[in-house]
Amino acid sequence: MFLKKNLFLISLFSFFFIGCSFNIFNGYHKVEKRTVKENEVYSLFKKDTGTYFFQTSLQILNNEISGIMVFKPSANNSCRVVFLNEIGIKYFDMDFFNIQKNDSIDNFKIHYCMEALNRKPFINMLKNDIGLLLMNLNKNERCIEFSQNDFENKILKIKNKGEKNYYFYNVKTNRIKRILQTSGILKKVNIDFYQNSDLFPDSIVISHFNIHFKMQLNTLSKN
Amino acid sequence: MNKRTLITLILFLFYFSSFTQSFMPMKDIAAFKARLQDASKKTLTVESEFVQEKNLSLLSNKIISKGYFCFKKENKVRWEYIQPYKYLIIINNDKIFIKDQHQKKQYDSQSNKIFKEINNFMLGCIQGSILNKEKEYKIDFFENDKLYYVKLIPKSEKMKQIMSEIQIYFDKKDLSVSKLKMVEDGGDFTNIEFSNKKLNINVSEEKFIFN
Repeated sequence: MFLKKNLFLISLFSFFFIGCSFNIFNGYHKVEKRTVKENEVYSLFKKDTGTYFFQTSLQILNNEISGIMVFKPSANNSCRVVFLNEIGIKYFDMDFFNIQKNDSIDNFKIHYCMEALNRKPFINMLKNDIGLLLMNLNKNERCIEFSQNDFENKILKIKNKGEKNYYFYNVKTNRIKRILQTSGILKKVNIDFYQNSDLFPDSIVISHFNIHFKMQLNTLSKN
Repeated sequence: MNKRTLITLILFLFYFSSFTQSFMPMKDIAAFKARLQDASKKTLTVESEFVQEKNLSLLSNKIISKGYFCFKKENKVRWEYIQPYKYLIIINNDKIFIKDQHQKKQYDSQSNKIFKEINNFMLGCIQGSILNKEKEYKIDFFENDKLYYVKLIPKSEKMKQIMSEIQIYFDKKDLSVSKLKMVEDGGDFTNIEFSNKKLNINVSEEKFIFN
């Protein structure tokens, strides 16, 4: 009886762990441990590349806000992110400094946040998610490479404090297709990049697995 | 100081002195308020074009949007942005409908309280009812030949965080709002200018239907 019960638990955990890894690496195999190469995967928001405008909707729990999100990368790898409603009233205005570092979320300043949104859990989510979206990978950073059989699509797994970030990208174009963040054995945040032909995505969707949080950014223009 | 700098400085000073001279303190505030209240009661519908300019300090260029505004008493509003991208917001009592190039969404005010508050604030400005909130704002009244200009400075810290100053310009002819300027704490501001205004024309209910 004891063995049966343990066997059941072992099977359940095995299924769970294997299930998790299959979900992340479906169709990929481990290639090697190595360091990140120069310009292997780069941020969409490079310094001095202009200003990016997105029509944005943000759903959190039972609330939804929408408007225009502006990304303005500038010198020293910082990026100012401002979210306005359609009538021009600001929801938040934040600066992300030194986005090339994996610990970018610590280099963060709030210039303004509307009182109704200024809650620590919400701010922490924005810090993490936008930081993840902006992040460049440092050359020589330690990573594990996974690849599909045709070696066209790869994943770089990078440890970031207690979390792991998985960068899914196309080798030929160096285009990032997806970023997945896990915490322990659980999936935490997913960022999907949707694009047709242009190098810049048509839309970006950030979603959380453990809470109803979804941010959809549809590209309006880049000036 | 070279000649060109001097000329620029003179022109700059001339521009600002003429601007400040153009508005004088309002002579009869009570009469203005009474006229505004009367006009607000009589205004059942408003249709107008608008140009919205958002000035953000981090951007060298303004974000300029254009579109149509429509209001029908008591609480029906349609903001239709046509440039630089199409975007439609309809508020029909407690329901909000938003349609952009990618999707349509409908929710009630409970799920979008921030939007509801902003809309109520905008309606208060457009209908002039915000001028009754003297407990919440320090209000100064000015006028020139064509316009009444009302400057509101929020008293509460909560409101000050959103806006440090609100300027409303009313047309002297019909007391309709010609321009609305919302200045934020850091100096960023939004200007909305209304033009080709049509008051009390027949506005179809279809404009406030979600589809």
